Amino acid sequence: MKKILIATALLCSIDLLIISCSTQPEEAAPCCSTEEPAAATPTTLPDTSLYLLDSEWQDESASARQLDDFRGEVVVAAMVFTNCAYACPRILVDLQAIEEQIPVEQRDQVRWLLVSMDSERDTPEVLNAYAKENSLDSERWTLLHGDDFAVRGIAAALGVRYKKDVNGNFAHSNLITVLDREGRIAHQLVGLGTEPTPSIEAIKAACVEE
Amino acid sequence: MNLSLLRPMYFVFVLVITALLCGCAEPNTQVRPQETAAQSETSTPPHAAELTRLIPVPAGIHRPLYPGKDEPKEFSVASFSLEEHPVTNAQYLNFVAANPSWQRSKARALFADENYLVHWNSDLDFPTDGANSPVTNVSWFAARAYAEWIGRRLPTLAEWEYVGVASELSAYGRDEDGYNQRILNWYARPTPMLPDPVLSSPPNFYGVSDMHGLVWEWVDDFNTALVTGESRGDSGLDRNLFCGSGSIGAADPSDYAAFMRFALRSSLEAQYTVRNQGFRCAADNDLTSEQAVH
Repeated sequence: MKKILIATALLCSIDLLIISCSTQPEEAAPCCSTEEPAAATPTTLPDTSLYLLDSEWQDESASARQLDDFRGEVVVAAMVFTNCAYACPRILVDLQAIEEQIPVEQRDQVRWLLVSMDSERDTPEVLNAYAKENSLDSERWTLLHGDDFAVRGIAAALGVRYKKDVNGNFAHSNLITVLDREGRIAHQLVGLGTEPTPSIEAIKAACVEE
Repeated sequence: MNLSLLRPMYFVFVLVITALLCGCAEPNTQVRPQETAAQSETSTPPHAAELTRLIPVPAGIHRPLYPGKDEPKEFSVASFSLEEHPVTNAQYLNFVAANPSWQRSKARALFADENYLVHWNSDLDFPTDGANSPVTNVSWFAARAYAEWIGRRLPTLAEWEYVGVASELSAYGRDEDGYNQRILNWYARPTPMLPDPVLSSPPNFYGVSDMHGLVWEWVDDFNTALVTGESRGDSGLDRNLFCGSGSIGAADPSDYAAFMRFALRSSLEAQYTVRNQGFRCAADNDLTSEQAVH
């Protein structure tokens, strides 16, 4: 017990020393976003847009994709792996429950994006089978496969923490992220089965924004 | 990004820290100029002679501080090479000179927070006498871009810790009297404005220098921290692993130094820049063996 207390005290003091200059990136967003005539200058992405990541992906039909392909759509994104027995099916259920609450007239403006963290096993073919199995309509749903470098980058940008275990499965954060039409994070829902109203509101608001 | 929800305790830390040390964050509220340059650029990387020497590290056994529930207590790290010292201000200047989108005034907020290179005098001018000091105030994205530019990569957490536990005399320094205490003494010292130059202390067992004593370092998979072999309830998991109960699950609770590095990584986001955090690069050895470090 004493050791634990010592460790706690050390931890807290070291944290004071080392994080001195770090700040939350979200602080930068409000000041900059107001200055960006986003719709007027489609070539310039906002400073906090995830679409600045220039990683290469393949979708479930093995077509080459870049993240900025989704520019202009309201995107609801989650990171999953299809071998996941517990959390990922529930994320999918949560996403589908959210979709049901979006007004019909807005549904075709929303893109549902599942990004696989399992770059080894979740090939486009596997993702395709997964989409079929779960009746994910490709008009509205896209599944992405990327290499480790791409996956690590988007996870870092989304704030998803994940770790591969010796069996090739992943421990990971459960996050549902709403991106506005410019790829900026509008809202993040943390955890499984979380009350989804804030996400639904964020999606509706993003749909209304031009 | 509303990640504070994920780690409520950390959010409290940030508030306290910001309140205590806001001096260094205040002057940087200017709006970044808009840039149309793409993130990736095709500038020519430096010649091999200008790059930091790569020190070959033989394969071996790593004992992770937080093995997952179903994971072995130790596992093998494949052989790889690690740069002899952290990347310096002078080396980093070459990078930003060749890749303008990574200059201080142009870096996008997605990739680096507002304190990115805050200690530099301007986009292309680092502090006097800082040429051979490790570059700090760099984000994970920036470190990764640098490594990619020179055709290398960031070390994995396992690789870094595997080399980091070596003392000058042996591969397992933490079994030596005084080894952990020396590291902890460094952790306890206030951060200097400019770290000492690289290579000012003797190399460790492998021939790698400055793993401790100058700066903390980014690793490629820094964002695995605070996740164990259990995929449920991550927000609760954060709380359980952080502070108090954190040392319970640790393989070696007496290794406070590793515990602190773990805690630091768990509190970082990829955009963050920290006044005493830098990085060094690694490279695969020309072997067919895959990296068995995950």
